[in-house]
Formats: sequence, C-alpha cells, structure tokens
Amino acid sequence: MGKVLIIEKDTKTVEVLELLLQALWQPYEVAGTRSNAMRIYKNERVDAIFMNPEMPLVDAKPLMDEMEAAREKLKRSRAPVVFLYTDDELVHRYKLNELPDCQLVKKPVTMEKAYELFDGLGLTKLKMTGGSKQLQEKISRFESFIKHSETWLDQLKGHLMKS
Amino acid sequence: MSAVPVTRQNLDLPGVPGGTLRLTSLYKNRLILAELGDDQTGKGEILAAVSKAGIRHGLIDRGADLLSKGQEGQVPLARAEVIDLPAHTSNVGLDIPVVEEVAVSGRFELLEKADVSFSVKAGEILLSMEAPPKTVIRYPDGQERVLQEHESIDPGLFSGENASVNDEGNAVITDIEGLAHRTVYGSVAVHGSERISGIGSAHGKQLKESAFVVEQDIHEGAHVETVSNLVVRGAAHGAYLKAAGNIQIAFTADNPTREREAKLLAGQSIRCGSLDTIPVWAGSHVISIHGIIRCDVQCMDTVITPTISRSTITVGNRLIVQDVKGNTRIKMGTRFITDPDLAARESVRSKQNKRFSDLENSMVQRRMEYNKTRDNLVRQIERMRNQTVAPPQKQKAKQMIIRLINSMNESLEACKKDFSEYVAIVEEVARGQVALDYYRLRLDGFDDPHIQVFGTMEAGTLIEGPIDRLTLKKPFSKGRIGVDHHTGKLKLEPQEK
Repeated sequence: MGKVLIIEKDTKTVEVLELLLQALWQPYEVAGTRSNAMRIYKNERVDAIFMNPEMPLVDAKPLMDEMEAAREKLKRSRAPVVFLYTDDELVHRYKLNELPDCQLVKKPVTMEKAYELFDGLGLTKLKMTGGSKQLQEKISRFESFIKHSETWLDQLKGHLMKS
Repeated sequence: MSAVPVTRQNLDLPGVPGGTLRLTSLYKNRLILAELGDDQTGKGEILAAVSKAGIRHGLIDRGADLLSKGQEGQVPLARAEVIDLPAHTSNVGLDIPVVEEVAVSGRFELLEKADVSFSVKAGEILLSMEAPPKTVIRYPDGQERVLQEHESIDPGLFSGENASVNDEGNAVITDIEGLAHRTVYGSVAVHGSERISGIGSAHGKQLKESAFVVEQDIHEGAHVETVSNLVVRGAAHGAYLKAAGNIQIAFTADNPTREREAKLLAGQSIRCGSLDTIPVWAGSHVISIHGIIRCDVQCMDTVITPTISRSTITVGNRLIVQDVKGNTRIKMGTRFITDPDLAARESVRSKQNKRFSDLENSMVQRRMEYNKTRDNLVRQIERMRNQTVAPPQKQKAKQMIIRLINSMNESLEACKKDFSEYVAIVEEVARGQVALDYYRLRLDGFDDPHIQVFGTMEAGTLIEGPIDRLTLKKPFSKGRIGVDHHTGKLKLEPQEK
C-alpha cells in the first residue's frame, strides 16, 4: 500500500487530513517544503498528493514538473493530485486546472469534504487481510520458482556440456 | 467526485443539560464523525451518549479524547472495521454442566457433583469444530457483513498429546483412556494416570509427565507439577500444586503453617472442598464446594462457591456466590485477568513472525539476484555464440558463464534452504495464531462480567469493575451486580420481589 503525500503547512487543513487518514488506516507523510516533498516522492510509493499550491517554499508548478520528471525516470504511474487553494487567480496563472490527473478544491477543507475527496480517490476502501489462501499462493510461487530454476539450470548445463 | 451518502443525528449528552453531540454518518456508518455543540464535556459522557445510540464498535479513542479536550469541528469517532473471526470450537467432554445448574438455581449443594478430573475413554470426542473462520466487516452499530468465509481450519491444530482428529476431520478425539484437559489456548490433551498414596515435602519436587492421582492427603511443603490433571482424594495442606489441566481436591486446600510456596495453579479448573489462606490461579473455573476464606483467587472465567470471607477475588467473567463477608474485595472483568504465559507466547509469535518475514524477504532478494544473474548469463552465452566476437573474448565469456552458473547454483541452494525453513515455520505460526485467537475469542465472550448473589453481600465489600469501583455502604441481598452496557460502570440490580 502506498502513502498519501500532504504538502501543506496550514495546521487546520493538515489536522483534518491527518485525523481522517488515521481513521482510515491510510499511511501518509506531511511535507512543508519542496525538497522534503521531492525526497518523499522519490523514496516512497505515493498513491495520492494533497498540495497547497500557495505555499511560499513550494512553488507548485516547478514542483509538479520535477515530480513528473522523477516519475518518468522511476517508471511509476502518475499519482492523482488535489490542489487545496484559496486564490482563484493563482489557479488561472499557473493553469493548475489543465494539469493531468489534478483536481482543485477550494479551502476550507472540512472533514466531510475530505472524506468525499478520499472516497473519489479510492482511499476509503477497507483493507482485507491476506489470510491463509494468500500464504498458500506465496508458498506455491516460491516452490515453482525453485523447481523451474533447477530444471532450467540442469537443461542449460546439459546443453553447454554438449556444445 | 463521488457523492457520499450522509445521515445526521443529534444526541443528548448525559449530565450536560441541553448539551448536544452532532453525529454525521458517512456511507451508512462506514465512518462516523462527531462534533460537540457549544458545551464542553468529558470523554465518559461522550462515550455514554454514543453507546446509548447503539454505536459500540470501532470507536476511535483519539476522536473522543480530542472532543473532550475542546476540539472544534468534526472529528472521526467510529469506523467500520474488517475483522478476521477465528474458527469456533466447542468442548464436548470438557464442560461442567452442574455449574450452570447452580448459577440458575442457587442450589450450591449440587457442587458436590462437579467433577473436573475429566476421565475419558479411548475414541471419545473432546471437542468439535463449529464455525469456520471468516472475515467480516463490522459497522459501529454492531451490524456485520460477511466478506469471506474461509476454509475450515485443521482441528489438528487443537490436538495435544494423545489426541487426534477423527476420520471425518471435524473433531478431536482421545487416542487413549485417561484424564483430559483443555488449556486456555484451546489445545486438548489426554494422559494416563500415575497413583501414589500420599505425598509431602520428603518426596521432593514431583514433576509428572502424566496425570497424577494422590489417594490420600498432600502435606506441607509438597511440590507437585503435572502436564495433565491432578486428583487428590484427600486434602492439600500448604502445598505448591501446579497442573497444566485441572486440580480436583476432595476436601480442603489450605495452608495452616503459612508455607511461603503454597499455591494452586491450574491451566483449566480447580474444584475443591474449600479454600483457606492459599493463593489460587485458574484458567477456567474455581469451584469451592463449601467456601473460600482468606484467599487471593484469580480466575479467568467463573468462581462459584457458597461463601467468601476476607478474600480477594479477581474474576474475568462471573462470580456466583451465596454470601460475601469480611471486607472482601472483588475485581471483575477481563482487564484484570491475563494468563501468565501470554506474554511469553506473544513474544514467541512475534519472533516467529519476524523470522517468517525475514525468510520471505531473503527469498525475494535471492530470486531477484538469481534472475539478474540469469539475464547476465544469457548475455554471455549470446556473446560466446556470436561469430564476430574474437576468441580471447569468447574465452572470457566462457569463464564468466562458469562463474555465473556457480553463483546461480549457490543462490538456488540458499533459496531452497530458506524455503524449507519457511514452510516449517508456516505451521508453527498457524498453530501459534490459532492458540492466541482461541484465547482472545474466549475473553471476548466475557462481555457481561457480573456477580450473582443468592444470599447477602456485606457492607464494606469493595467491587471494582472495568472502569469504576464501589464499596457497599449497606448489605446487598439477592441480586446481580453487573456492568452497564452504555456507561461501562458498575450497576447493582437487586432481584425483583
């Protein structure tokens, strides 16, 4: 399971998101600067990003470009981004609404609104434990790997000896 | 964006006139948000209000804490949870029906009939499988929906020594004639018995790998431990007696000379004539036919006796008693009772899980290394077969191929070694998990801790419940002392006349 990355410094918004993510057992990270956000993005599997594009130390557009470059390099799928904004003009200036897989949500973010956002991103699904069936599948995968590898190696050795 | 179905309700807060708790239920109770009106109130009142509204599961402690500390706006207060319910088994030959009879009738003289030696014949059924394990979603209001029914678990995971699974695969039966017991972790075992006429300190430490029957008394300073049941046809004075199963003593178990080591410890139940000045632990029942005096009794399930005097009784499920006297102290509820072996078992399980996960990671790593080496090997083979490559380079490629094959062999051998340990540990982990699941399921069943009083409980008796305590200011006669479902507080319910 990947993490939710929150790039935000507004304590009220962070608190709402954190409380809800904790209630939903969703792992998350909070970043207050661009470098922190990039470090987390590169090192963790990120399933969704909540970003305040108005934070002075973040600079949303270049950060988005940097993330996109890192994503392509790491060959990952694109994580959806939710911009939590207050200033309409900034949205138009940076054309945030034209970025792929992004949505705009005007603050304040209430608990209900946040839940609706999470739900839209598939973050409210209850996680099921694996159970014994999954364990049996794992065992048979390892078993078949060993079996196939042994056969492959034996055949190769035989072939190399002949040639 | 999806439209999340929302329902709202306002709850009155007990003890806060006009106080309101606003609840917002998202997705038919999948998540419940709560917000206080203008009033500030304690966590207990908040939990009592939601409990009264039927919300008793998946409560988020931090949410209630935040509200009681004056948090403004909504906070998550309860959520639906996905829960794995373990398999359910039922005792067949290991129950004590007379206890239920006395619990209803108050006829304590019937306790004479109680027998916890559990003598069984070969082929008898000890336990049977009832419901298979399943995964459910449980909503805060207690409603459950089955997400997945799992295959029934192997009853063999519950069979201990001299017990095995029957041909139908749905019950555990005894392989031999002997005395049976079931531990708090669910496993059943049967042992043949060894007999002795009497026993005292001169016999030294007696550590028995069988059931043990003492035909007469056990005297001061005796030390007996058995992996099965201990049956004493006489009395036990000042002795240390420990049984993985049951202890049955025909007459009194006391400690007249105040032996420091004297103690009764039973993995399952204890049944005796009376208990006097001796510490007691039992994983299931304590049945004292005539009474308990000056004892510290700790019992996970039921204590049943006509009189208790000057004692401390700690019981997980229920206490059935006629009269209680002499500043007795009673603690009830599962929070006071933990099996002494639980911590050790959990530590073993945690080590096993760690080893299990380490082995898995190691195998994944080796598989990756193997695949990487194989890709490299394929490249070297192609190089060797390439007509345009010069002979010295081909020679190098050949040497490289030999090295890579050796390396792959080593990876595979190491992987095979990890795999055999991995498979072996799977069964140990499953057995450990089943044992802990059984223990927890049993404790979960003690959700209505209570004291049933058939006579009188004297003033001065101290009773401690899951969240509060009280000292009786006046005698309490004929009734039930339980725990209020809404508040979790102690509740005295005198019997209606």
